[in-house]
Amino acid sequence: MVFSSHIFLLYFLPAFLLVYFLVPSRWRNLVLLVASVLFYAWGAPDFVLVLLASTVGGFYLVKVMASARSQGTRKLLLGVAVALPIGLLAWFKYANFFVDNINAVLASLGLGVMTWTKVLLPIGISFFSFQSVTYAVDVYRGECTPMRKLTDYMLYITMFPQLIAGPIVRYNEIADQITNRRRLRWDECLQGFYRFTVGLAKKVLVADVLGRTVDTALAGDLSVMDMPTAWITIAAYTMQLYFDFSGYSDMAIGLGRIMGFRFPENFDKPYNSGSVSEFWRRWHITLGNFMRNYLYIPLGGNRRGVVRTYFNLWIVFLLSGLWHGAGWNFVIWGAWHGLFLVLERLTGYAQWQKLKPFRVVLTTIVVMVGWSIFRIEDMSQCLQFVGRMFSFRFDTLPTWQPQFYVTVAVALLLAFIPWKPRFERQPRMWMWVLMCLLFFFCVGALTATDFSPFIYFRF
Amino acid sequence: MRQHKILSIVTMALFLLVFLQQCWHFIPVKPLKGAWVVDSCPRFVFKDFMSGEWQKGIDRYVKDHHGFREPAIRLYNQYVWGLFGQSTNGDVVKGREGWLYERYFVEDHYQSRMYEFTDTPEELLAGFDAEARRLALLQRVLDSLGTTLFVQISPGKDIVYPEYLPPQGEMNRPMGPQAYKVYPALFDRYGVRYTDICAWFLSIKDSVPYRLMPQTGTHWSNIASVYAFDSVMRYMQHLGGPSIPSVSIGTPYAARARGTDYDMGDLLNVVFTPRGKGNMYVEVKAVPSDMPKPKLIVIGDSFFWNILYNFPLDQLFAYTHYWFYNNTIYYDPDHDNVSQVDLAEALREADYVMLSYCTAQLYSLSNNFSVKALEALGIPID
Repeated sequence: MVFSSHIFLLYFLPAFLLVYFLVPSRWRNLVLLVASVLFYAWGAPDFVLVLLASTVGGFYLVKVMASARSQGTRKLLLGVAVALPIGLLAWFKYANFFVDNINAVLASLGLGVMTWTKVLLPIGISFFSFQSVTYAVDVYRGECTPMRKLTDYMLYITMFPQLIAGPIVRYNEIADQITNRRRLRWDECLQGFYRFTVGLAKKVLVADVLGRTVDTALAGDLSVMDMPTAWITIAAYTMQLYFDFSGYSDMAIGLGRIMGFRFPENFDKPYNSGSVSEFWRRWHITLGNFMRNYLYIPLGGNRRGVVRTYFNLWIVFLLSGLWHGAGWNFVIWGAWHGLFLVLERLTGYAQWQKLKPFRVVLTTIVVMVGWSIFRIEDMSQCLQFVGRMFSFRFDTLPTWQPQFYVTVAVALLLAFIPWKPRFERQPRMWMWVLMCLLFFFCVGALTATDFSPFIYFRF
Repeated sequence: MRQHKILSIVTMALFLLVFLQQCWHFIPVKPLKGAWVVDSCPRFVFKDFMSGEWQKGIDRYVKDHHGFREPAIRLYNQYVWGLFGQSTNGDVVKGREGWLYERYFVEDHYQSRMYEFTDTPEELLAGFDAEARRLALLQRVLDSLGTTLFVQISPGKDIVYPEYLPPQGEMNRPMGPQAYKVYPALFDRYGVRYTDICAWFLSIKDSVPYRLMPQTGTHWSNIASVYAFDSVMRYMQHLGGPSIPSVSIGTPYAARARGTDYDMGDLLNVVFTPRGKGNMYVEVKAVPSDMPKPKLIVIGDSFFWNILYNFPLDQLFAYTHYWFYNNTIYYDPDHDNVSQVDLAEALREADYVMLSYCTAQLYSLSNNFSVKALEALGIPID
């Protein structure tokens, strides 16, 4: 189930909230847990047992680890507790990729290929695996104590607002919120509703509109694309990604707020960044934090000399790329960002304060080229597309719909202006009316997009 | 804080209202226009649940039935139409100066209809030729039975008013022959009787004080359809079949668009439906007559609806059976569908059989009627 589906917006969410608000506060965690399992089972019934079994296994492993006296045992159990979710992630997400590559090598050597039944990818596994890791590591580091109740831990892992697409909530950021539930505040409920609706609008009214044209453009013959078309396409995709992902994060954060949770922010005007390293502090912040705290620092961070620091950065970004998808384009995309991070450190680029507008433009171009690699899986096609971006060939602009052009322009404006909406301020009546209308409008957009009746039935 | 509590509860109540509206439709809303397939609510089957098919079916069902769906769609469509001049309905194409065209006609105009029917232009042309030869054969057989068969070609808006068409753009589809450019020559070659109202409209469009095709409709305008069918009736009598009572046509008057004159506007499903300008109407009356009235079977597309609405056909014909795309039958008390009809008997009984197809529907001329009729009459098809 995704947030921008009718079944979620018009049935699941209202029914869940009705029960959630009506039951006594001590039952709310249980209601949320049951709803989260149902939410997951709706979209991936095959994998709900995998999710639950890995969660239960992780809980007891960490519990034993926390009570172990010897450091060696603790370390061993930590290894198992981390290996379990990472192993599941590796199996479900990368087994096909691995076998495909082995087969490609075998085929190139003229040897027989392995027969293989494709493994299906459980939805959300990239997110809940990482949350399991944060739990084990945070407890191991003594940053927090293990949860006493299995249901509380299951709630942390499966909580539906962030189960499928994050934000990746570190255990120590939310443990207290789960165990010590405070009274619901109506103003926070409204703030959450506003945030959710804004996220829905970002997804439905911007990202989806851009996505339809981007898909059409990139499905065409890239070799004949002229330079402005290539730039408009990649600018639209750049905005589509941002509005889609940040919209989904807004919805998750808003839902959490309605239920009385505070999830960490995931985006902070990333396209206003003056360097790639700044971009990664503003884009998918929770992933960046995870990678820093659970990979970069354990690898030694920047404490082991310059060469090792660059090596660590590359490792982090290669793995970040691979985390986004099982394909070489994602690895190259990670390497692309890693390359610029290293270059920035070598040149001291981030220190050029007076050139901020120039740096923003340059960073955006680097990021946009990166998104080309991210979006176009076939590397030869990707190179062709990037070549068109710098071809200096100017034909007439494509006859795309005006809604697309206007939406690109509005999205660019919203993405680059330094203004940010303040969801924390006290809800106002006019705001509520506006948000109700916006919500209804988004539902209309979702319904109308595929509604294309004939004038009458032809036989 | 109290206001926040009230607003939160009202928000929940609004969600509940959507659900109640879906169940009981207690608040009247303007229905959506057009024809579409509605999925029924899928039955729960565990296997389907595990494969995700049941969930998809439920989502489709909710999408098609949720409360206040109609105003929600109209509101969004109005935004897209009003702000960007776009239609969310792929069948409605915006032309110049507020003119609306049905997609089929635009594609026909730019010779890209072929993809719907066959693989190659040669196959398509061979199909046209075979159909014309079958109709010529059927015409001869029916003549011997005293039944007059003829083809009436209704006008395509793209042909009569090409000046308002949108630019061709990149259709990215194979080009092929246009049925309307091929059939008249084939009819002439094989001797099929036909009347080309489209060509007539094209020849008079600059000399008549009204629009032959409405700005926001896809069919002939109400007023033009009246003059067209009056001419068709004269043509029928010219063919030598039984006489048809006369009609008197009143004085044209301007009025707000009615019926099919804004069917394309309707199909936009927006809040403020564009109805077009310059719509004119006339009233048609049958001149009382004691003579026996002929029997008419019409096989064809939706252009004949205007005739059904505007003409007192019951006073002009003993019956008018409208075999819509040679499938559903309208206004035959004994049959709902052509498959129920004794075809040979029906053809012997009728005085006139009119194949009424507009230019964009000529690709499927007769909708297999010629084959079925020849089979029913025991005539081998070579």
